[in-house]
Amino acid sequence: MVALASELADRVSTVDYRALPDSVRREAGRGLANIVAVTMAGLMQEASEIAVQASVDMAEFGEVPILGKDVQLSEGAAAMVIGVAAHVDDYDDTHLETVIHPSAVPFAALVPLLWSSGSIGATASGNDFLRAYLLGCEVELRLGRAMSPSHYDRGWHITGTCGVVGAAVSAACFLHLSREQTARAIALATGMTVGQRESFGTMAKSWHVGQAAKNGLTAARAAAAGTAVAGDVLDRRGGYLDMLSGRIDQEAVLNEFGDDWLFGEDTYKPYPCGIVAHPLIDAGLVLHGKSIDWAGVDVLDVRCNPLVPELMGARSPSTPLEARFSAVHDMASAVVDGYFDLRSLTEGAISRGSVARIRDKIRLLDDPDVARDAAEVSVRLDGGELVEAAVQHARGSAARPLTTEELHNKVDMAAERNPDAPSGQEVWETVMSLEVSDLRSLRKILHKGVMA
Amino acid sequence: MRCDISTDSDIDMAEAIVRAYLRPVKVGERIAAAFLATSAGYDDADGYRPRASVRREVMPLGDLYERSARLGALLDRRPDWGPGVSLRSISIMVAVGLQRAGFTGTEAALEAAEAAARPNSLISDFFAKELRGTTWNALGISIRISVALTASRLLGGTAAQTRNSLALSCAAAGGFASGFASELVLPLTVRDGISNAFLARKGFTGALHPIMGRRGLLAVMAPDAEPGPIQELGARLREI
Repeated sequence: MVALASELADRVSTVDYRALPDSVRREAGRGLANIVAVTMAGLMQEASEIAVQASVDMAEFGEVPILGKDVQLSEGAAAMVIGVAAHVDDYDDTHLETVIHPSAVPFAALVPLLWSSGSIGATASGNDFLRAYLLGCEVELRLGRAMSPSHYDRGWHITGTCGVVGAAVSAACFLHLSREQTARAIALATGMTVGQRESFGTMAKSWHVGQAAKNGLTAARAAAAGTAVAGDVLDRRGGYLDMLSGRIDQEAVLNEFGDDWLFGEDTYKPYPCGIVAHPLIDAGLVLHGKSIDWAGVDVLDVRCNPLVPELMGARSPSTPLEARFSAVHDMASAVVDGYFDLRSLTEGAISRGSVARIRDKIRLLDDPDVARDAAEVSVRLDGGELVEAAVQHARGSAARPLTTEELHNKVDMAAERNPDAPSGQEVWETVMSLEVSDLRSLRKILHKGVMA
Repeated sequence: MRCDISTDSDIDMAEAIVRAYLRPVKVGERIAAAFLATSAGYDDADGYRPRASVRREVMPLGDLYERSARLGALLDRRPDWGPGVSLRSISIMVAVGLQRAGFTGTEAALEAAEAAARPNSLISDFFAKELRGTTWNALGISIRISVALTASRLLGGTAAQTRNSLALSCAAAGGFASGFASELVLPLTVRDGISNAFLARKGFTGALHPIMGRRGLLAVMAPDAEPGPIQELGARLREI
């Protein structure tokens, strides 16, 4: 019997990016533009700066520049920093069925290779990069699907546990590893998983992404160097799938690989917080438009999916990271401001009394019959009038994805957060033309101060 | 079935672990001798040559995890050390490396190595028992935690920072007990432990209940863990 890692490597090796349908390649471009811009914004966060400073203290110097930071890091340290930045705002992307944020880990593993892979990085095409990114995300999602929902339910942070394998695949593709080496990279990555949900609401959640990217790169490098590993460690009894999940649908890993793309179900976050709160934020925006006198309101009832209080049940967040995991806070912020974006998650914005007063009135009524992307709210006003609002599908969900214009606007806004970043327009044009260019333009926008 | 493990006990556990690594100690003769032997080995005994790309002034740290495996193994083969000294030698290795890199003085390095010896052994025993029914590499996890906590003390970490280094170190696997590239486990976990201590020192935060939280290390890696070893670890840490 052929080991799953070998079969997976076989399937990966047969994918010809240029022969893929337009819709798949278009989504790869949209996903990449999104994660590039979100990473640029994330580099402004304290967690990213800490990761840079810690790398400097450890003398992790190398060839990889970091946008806006006066330092060039080793590929492992750079993968860590970029991974932290890509996810720290919780603004990246989500595959709702698995709750994986697919882009951040493969992207963070690939970017350092633009500088540290020598002649490969200098001569590779935009298609090479897009292919490696897409395949890393796809493998990550397929492993996640095979283990869902029990894996996440147990408490694993699925982006880190599946992402590490995705990162290894992306790096293996970009470095032109052989099928046998790619299979070994996959197998090695399975022993380097990262992340438990206990860390949510702390910087460690984004560290899971950075560490998974670093580990995936390590696995690919070790495989290329000939490090031996059992070929069946992915699918054997007591191996990766078995240890990470009580119930496994192993066929989900390989079934229609290369034809049916799970990455096509990826969605881009319109709001920088946990995705299960997005329908509540949409409802909050509706309530903002109704000019309610909240002083006369006792309770704001919200019927929502049980994952809302499960994942985002914090009632009184005291830091921006905690606020990203407080559905009641994020909804209240939307009610007060009429928007919810990166401006809503500063220290000053989250400590406002106006937000806290509405937040304290919100009552979450979890109901398994409410879909993950839906919510219903009702407010009894002082005079007895009942105000109701229903969100059937949250903005940015699979049923109501961001339009190209909305995604472009998001890229503009995210890039604008970083004064060292190029304009969102330049990011968009660079990524969308990557199929017909080499990687100099991508290197240029990722660090405009370093020679491409 | 796993017994109910409250997060209250985890607060005590994490605090007890951190306290054990940061406690004041008197350096014993065995640790001092081992420290000197390691320090000598650092210069030439293992024949290691640092990478040219590693800056000279911080060379001992930059190549620390690359050579930790061979020096750790070298020490473990010494007949006067007896069995089961892997984690102790790794902590000494970290102490020597950070002292050579200028992050700490010799006296502080010796104290950190002494302080780590006992809790290293307890943590190693604990994870070996709790992960016995699984295929996770318990030693890999123990090494990462031991290295992070030793390094945090050496870097002058506060109790809160040291606790965050523990949190980061509990959030990753350390390979599988068999079939996984065993030669990678030691360098990777030492690398990560040191890195986690540096991140925490700069202010990186992690879970408050990393070991026994509802979705912490034991919940995901050993859902059938028994409370006996937990209570035993807590009691023995308090005795230190």
